[in-house]
Amino acid sequence: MKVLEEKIGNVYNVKISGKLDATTSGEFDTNLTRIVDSGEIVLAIDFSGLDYISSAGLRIFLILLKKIKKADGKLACHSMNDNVKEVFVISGFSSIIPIFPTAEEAQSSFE
Amino acid sequence: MSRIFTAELSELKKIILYIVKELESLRFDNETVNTTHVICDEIITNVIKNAYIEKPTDEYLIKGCLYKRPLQISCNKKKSDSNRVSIIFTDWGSAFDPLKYEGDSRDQLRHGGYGIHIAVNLAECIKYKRENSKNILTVYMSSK
Repeated sequence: MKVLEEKIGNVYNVKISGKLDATTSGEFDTNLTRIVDSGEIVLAIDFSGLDYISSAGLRIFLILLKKIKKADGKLACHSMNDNVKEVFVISGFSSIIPIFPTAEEAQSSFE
Repeated sequence: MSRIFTAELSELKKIILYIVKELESLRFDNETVNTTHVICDEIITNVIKNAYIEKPTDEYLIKGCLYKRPLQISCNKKKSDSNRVSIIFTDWGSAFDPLKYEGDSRDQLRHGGYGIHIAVNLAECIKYKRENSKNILTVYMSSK
């Protein structure tokens, strides 16, 4: 799994690629915790390179959302492939976590 | 054909790879392989985290060998339907019927257990039985 980070304006963009499962979720969790703890609370997560997510990965987004809400920040996930989106929908997470089809729509949600 | 693994997180990648390779050898399409990957990840992770929690050091005699935390996996193609495969997960741990998670509310899912919920809902069909102190979970998937 790879994580790329870039700040544009006040939005912190995180692009994840590869597989997010029980074996890689710890590393990703550490990355996100570092980002949020450093004060970045407006996050756009780009899923376009993510092939696969399991419940261990979903759990991280639930915790992330709670942290960001508590800090009065915003979270937007975007560009999921159909398999990844199906996991979000089936788990019910799609009704909790803001998901957008494109990066542009995710950016617009912050305005 | 079946294989016995140790139900530990460090083995997860190896176990998934075994199943994916089996499906690929059966010429399953990529989308079904990816979906099966998600299902198997959830089922195996659940066995790793919960099955042997009460008896973590017990050893089990299987086919003349002793195993700690065994998880047996077999992939079988149906002779009558070449597009359908059954993946059988057998563990010797505490009884657990994942199909009983189906009725959980979304609020409960938020607090855990959604991995099994995902697996049950993504699979074409899942059957569970408890037999001779073993959990036997069969997942059926069809290639498109």
